[in-house]
Amino acid sequence: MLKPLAIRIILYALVVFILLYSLLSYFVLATDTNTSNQDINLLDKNPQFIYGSKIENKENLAFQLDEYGEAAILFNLKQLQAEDIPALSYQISNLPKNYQTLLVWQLREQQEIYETKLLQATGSQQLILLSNIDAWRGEISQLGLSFRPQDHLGIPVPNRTEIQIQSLQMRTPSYFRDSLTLMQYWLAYNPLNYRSINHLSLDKSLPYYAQLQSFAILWLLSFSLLLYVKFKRLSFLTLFLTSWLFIAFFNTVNSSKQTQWATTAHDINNTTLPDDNLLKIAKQVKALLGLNNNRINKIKTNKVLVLSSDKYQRSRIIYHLLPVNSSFLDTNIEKDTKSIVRNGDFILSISLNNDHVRPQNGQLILNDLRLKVKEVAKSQNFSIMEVVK
Amino acid sequence: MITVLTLLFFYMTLGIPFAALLSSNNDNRFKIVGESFFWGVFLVISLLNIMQYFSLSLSLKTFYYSMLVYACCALLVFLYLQIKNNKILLNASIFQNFTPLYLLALALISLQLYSIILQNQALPLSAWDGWYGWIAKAKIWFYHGINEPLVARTQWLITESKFTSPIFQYPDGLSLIYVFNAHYFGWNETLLNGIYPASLIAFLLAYYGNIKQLLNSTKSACLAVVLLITIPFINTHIIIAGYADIWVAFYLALCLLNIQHFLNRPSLKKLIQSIIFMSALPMFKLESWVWLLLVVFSFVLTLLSKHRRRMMLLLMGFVFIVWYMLDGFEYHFSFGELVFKPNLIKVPALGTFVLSFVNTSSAWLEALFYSNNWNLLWYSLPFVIFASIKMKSHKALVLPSLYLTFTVLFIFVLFYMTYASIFANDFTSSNRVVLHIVPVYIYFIILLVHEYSTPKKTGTLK
Repeated sequence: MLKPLAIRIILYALVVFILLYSLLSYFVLATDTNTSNQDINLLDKNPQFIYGSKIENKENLAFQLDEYGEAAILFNLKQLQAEDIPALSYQISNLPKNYQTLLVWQLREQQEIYETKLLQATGSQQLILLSNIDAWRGEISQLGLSFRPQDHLGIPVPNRTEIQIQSLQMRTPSYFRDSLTLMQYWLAYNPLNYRSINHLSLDKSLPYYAQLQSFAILWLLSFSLLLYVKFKRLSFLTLFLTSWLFIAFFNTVNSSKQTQWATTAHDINNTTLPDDNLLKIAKQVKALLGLNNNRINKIKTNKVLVLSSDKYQRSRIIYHLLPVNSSFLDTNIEKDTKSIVRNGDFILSISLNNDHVRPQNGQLILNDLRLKVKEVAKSQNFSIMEVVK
Repeated sequence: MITVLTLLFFYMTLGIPFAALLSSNNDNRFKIVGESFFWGVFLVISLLNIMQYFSLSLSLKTFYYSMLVYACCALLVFLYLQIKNNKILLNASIFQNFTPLYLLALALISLQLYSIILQNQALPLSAWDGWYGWIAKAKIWFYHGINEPLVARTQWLITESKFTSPIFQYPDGLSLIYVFNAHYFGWNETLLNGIYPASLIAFLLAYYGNIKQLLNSTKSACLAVVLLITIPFINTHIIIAGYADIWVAFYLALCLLNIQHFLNRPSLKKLIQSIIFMSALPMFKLESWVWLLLVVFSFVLTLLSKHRRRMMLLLMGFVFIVWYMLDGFEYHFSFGELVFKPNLIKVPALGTFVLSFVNTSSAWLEALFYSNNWNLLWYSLPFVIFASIKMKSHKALVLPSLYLTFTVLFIFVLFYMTYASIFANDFTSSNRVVLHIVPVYIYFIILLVHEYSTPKKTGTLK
């Protein structure tokens, strides 16, 4: 093992290395653009609310989320060349912890809408570097901000908190004022989503040399070499461990933010689900089928076939419907639906976009087949039908 | 927090008689206490599987309370024997080696665990395979009994009064654990997910105890635990509970560590322990059969002398070349067709696998090196390969190095040669398969470092 003096040297060197590397990477990031030194204050560009409502008579741009827990703002821009504006500086306060802010844009003569997630608003000034984003090229025809819950593990609880945008400026980064940008990226709140169980991806808006991992590896290699030259011995393990713990530190900071969000967003006694609306539908359907009256055997005998074009929604509703005996009905696979369904079976047609299949004159039409059904109940998002042969 | 500790304590007391009976005099307390949890889990799943097999109509509530009574008795007997034999579970000697560095490591481990438990016990069941398969199965059985048969959807459509599950043919281990716990907690998924952090705590104890005993080094054991608990992908599998992969990883590591104990000091007790942990593997995932075969194969090769092992490996290489040159083989049985050809593998009841090379390297590079999955774990590969070649004659390295080599070969064939390459490219299962071997790999790194720093203490093969 190394002597205490050597450990102290490594620690001092680590601090210097972090500062130098952070600054250097940032300089490379920030100079990798053709800038026109043109700053645009988006708050002066007649912000219009597509969702959510503006709160008048406020010094800053203040607004509330709509009944679905979302907000979207469009800015009136006449002509903007993406390459001229390499960064967006913003200061947003009171944003709920489980919410994300996205910059949304559309390029002229293109149908596709692009979006990039901003670093989680903390109430203080933040910067997002746009020049590294592939789609940030060309003439921008529409530009806006969208506020919505974090992917899948977020809950769209309508929030009446007044969210404030203190500043929103498209500008060229300043070397000294924005020198801690990279650190902000590394410390950014990066919540888990349902894909995290398979893969924890890095923030791809940063190039590889600005990633935390690259920093740790460069530190490891350069100091291994330095120590070898200086002390004629290689303590690779100690250096590897410092790099490992350095990354672990950032992960722990992020984990504490996740903990804060998870414990405030979900209440164990009244667990709110990301798809709470589907759970409500399932509860209604179960009540209609008489589960509350202890008719568990009937629910086992008579099947519920879920009809939905959205595979995620149909899978989730099947889970929420349990202990009801249900599965999906895919009319593309089961061509002859008539031979499958029996008298007394139920067909649950759902869609959260309100475009679910409904019976017409006591008949459900599927793939040119007509099933005689009785609509037991219906709502904006679903229709439950009993098969009558 | 209370839920997690309750589950931890309950399963430990269920398993403690077995772990204690099969422990040897030099087994440390961490190993016994940690492994007792996994004995408890194994016991519950085995009994419920037996009940399912014989369609016993014993109420699950009765079974649950019987196990509770048994756990209380087991704990009392265990404590009585400990006091009678003048063994004290916790005494000052445990802490006497603890320098400030160890306390720092302990603080880091505690902080990680605290954060994991808080998140796990706040989030709903959100893991896709959990609510789509494993836990959905448990929910059906919770309401309709564990003897309720599950059928494929195509069969479900044409039969009456049967339930279906997308994983109807998969092992029931994880689902049965949820059903069993639900008889105490009710159907509250967040509370039921508490079994995951409980298993992590137990595993850390067992991992620490095993490595400490195998290497006779507190420092190495502590380091292994710190590395394991700071891997984001492992933590995610505990926080977003509902997948079976972490269970496979835990049982696989325990199985291999116990075989290593057996190789160091052969005893029937250690062999039984290894076999039990081995047999727990297929209770969780079908893929575990492959790991099981590789463990057995590596174990058999390790038992051979160095010369015979080399001959065996050469023979295997030779057989492979002949097999490839002759374009494989095929046999027709009454129950199906067995085909082993360079471009096709067909095994009755398992399926048909068309083999063709698909380059998934860029996805692998991203998954292992350019992501937030594994901290810097896989950057240690050059060191591991270099050190294991340099120290190839060290006896302790034989089993894990053989096992890891076969595993890498299997992963290569699976993700480069079969349909599973899709799952490597879209990251849906590559990381999870790697997760299975990560505790063994960390042990291997620690072992290499230990062997490297203390070369005189180790023996070599004849």
